[in-house]
Amino acid sequence: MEKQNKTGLNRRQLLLGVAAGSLTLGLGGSIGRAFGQDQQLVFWSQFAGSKRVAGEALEAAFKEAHPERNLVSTLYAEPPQLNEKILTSINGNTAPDLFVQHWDYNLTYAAADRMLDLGEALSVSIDDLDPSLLAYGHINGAQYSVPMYGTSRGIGFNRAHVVEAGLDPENPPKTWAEFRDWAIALTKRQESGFLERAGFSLFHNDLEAWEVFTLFLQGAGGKLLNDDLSAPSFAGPEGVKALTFLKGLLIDDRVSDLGFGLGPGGLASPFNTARAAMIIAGNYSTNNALRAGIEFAVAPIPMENGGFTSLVDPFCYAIPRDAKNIEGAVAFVEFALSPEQQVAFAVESKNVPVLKSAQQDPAVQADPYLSKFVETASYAPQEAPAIPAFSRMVTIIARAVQEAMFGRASVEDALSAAAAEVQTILDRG
Amino acid sequence: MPSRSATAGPFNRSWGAYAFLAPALLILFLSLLLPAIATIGMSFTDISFLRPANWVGLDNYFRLMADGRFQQAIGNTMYYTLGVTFPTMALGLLAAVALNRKFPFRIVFRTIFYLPVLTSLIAAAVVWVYLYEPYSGPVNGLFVSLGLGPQPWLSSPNLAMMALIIMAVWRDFGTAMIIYLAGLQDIPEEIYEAARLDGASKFSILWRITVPMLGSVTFYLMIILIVQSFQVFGAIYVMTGGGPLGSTETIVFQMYQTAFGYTEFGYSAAMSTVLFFVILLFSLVGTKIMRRGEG
Repeated sequence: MEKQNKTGLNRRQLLLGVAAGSLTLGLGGSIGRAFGQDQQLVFWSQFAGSKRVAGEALEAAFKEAHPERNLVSTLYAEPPQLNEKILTSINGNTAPDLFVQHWDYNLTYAAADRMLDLGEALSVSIDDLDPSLLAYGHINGAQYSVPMYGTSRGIGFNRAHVVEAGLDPENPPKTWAEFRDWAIALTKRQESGFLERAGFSLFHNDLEAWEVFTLFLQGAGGKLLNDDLSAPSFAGPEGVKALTFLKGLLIDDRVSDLGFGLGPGGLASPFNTARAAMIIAGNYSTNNALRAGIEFAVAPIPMENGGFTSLVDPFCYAIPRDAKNIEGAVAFVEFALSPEQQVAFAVESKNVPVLKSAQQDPAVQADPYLSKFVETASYAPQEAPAIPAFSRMVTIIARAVQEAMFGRASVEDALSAAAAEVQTILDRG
Repeated sequence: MPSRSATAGPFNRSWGAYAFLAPALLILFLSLLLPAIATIGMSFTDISFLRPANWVGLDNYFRLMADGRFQQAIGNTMYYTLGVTFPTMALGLLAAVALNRKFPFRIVFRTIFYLPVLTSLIAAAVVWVYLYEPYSGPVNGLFVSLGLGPQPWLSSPNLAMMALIIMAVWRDFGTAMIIYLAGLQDIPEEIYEAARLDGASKFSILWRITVPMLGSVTFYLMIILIVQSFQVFGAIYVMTGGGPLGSTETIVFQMYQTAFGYTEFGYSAAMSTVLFFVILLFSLVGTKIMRRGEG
């Protein structure tokens, strides 16, 4: 027995050794994890699709410039997918330090006082940023989210169709009357009435139905909500005029068919398959149209009697109020808003940068499509319908537009019913 | 008065069985019953997961009663459920009866009919969107070649739900076929022989022997299909997004939109609770009809 003890470990020594080893490993691991987590900057990104390469380049540049910050990013394909994650993570106290998301979701989180006021946290001069894009992150008197970029809307047209119809692509419509003439001239139907090519494809989903109505509402001099965003104003004379004009294009002028092109967009959309000559286009339309071999051109959206209008649609950074690494998150946003990163992201992703100086940068202006969308962005209103119930309002208005188009209700009744519904939601808060 | 040991006896004798059931019951409680109870509880609040929740009593239910969109969603769900359940069962039964006979390659046919069940729902939905494409899709190609005009399948409020039902029946009737095939194996051949000796026609045999003897299978299938149809979501999400004009917006789709689109989880929970009781009602009525039939 004694001999055995001299040559090997006894049971007590073995147990002590195992316990000490486990304790060391456990403590070491915990300390290491704690240290690692302190340094981590958790970023949930929505730079997917056409923005993926630009997003990856931005993150790589940040890592290079800030090697001390351990950026850990996760990519989400769609805003609703990211929204599901954010909602559950905020509730479970596992929210990231930073995320970039479609602006209307950010307003929902901000309205519940779960976000940091970036107006105070960032050292970036707000005056250097495009006010029309910035307006979408402003709620309850604070700037809860700051855009990285925005998309803007213009008339996208097929240059080959325009030339074929005897129209001048260098002289696009400047009033509603001219727009109507273009839409009629570009429409092609067989003798049987079968629509070969829509002169103007109005919308392909609810969001686009809302969008086309809003653009023509603005074109008639109206807007969605009153100045203090407490009541709808889209059902007034301007709204009726806008929807009547759109309905006239569809029913009287037959520039398209009811339900034409409803469904998934992308390469199979009517415009990208040369079955529509004009659409409401955004920056995101460019790549697919060019890939589909369309002679894509962009023009500003005319107002009724001259002048132009547009919409911008930003994707914004937001930092949860309870984020563990607020300092790191602020550093990332400031880095992303630097002129170099703004230009690089815009040129790669073909989106409108939020930094005003980047919008006029020679590299941005050298891109024929991007420069055109920068121009159309300048026609967007400076104020935004920045309410937490925005997505619900979109659905209601889109439904009203389609009810009028499908003849289920008169233009006036559809808009009045929608306005009453929006008012109920606004009153509910 | 029975002694304590007499009443405790069955439990004491079965404790082993309860012990074996306990893990499964615990998992069921945690994964099914607890969320269901939580959902019913949430339906009496205005919970958004962003703000502190308030108790609102029956407000969400009163709101539901006055909500035209929810009523439309109930109507759409009923239409979809009836439209899918009965044609699926009928086609499944016919296919099962046909493929229960012995003929060459019947295994191949069984496999082909069952393949849609194995296909990913989302992949199938994407393919059907192209099949229904109004201008170059094969369905309209067929219509035009038959001298019928092309139809706006997914873009007309009058046709979109029908288009979804057709796709669902295509996908689900393989399940009905397999279940009916299993049921057919249990019908004794002697009964058919006796009927044939009595000079019964093929239709009489089907209607008076096969269908009644598959009663319990039919009931099981009906409940499965009703519950499944009430919960339809994926195909609608991919193919129509609830449109046009809300004509394909079902209760579950609206629940999702209300919860995650509008962050009204309390209101969405009320919708979910209503759906739960509607499904329960269907199941209870079905059970009662079945028992009466067996009696």
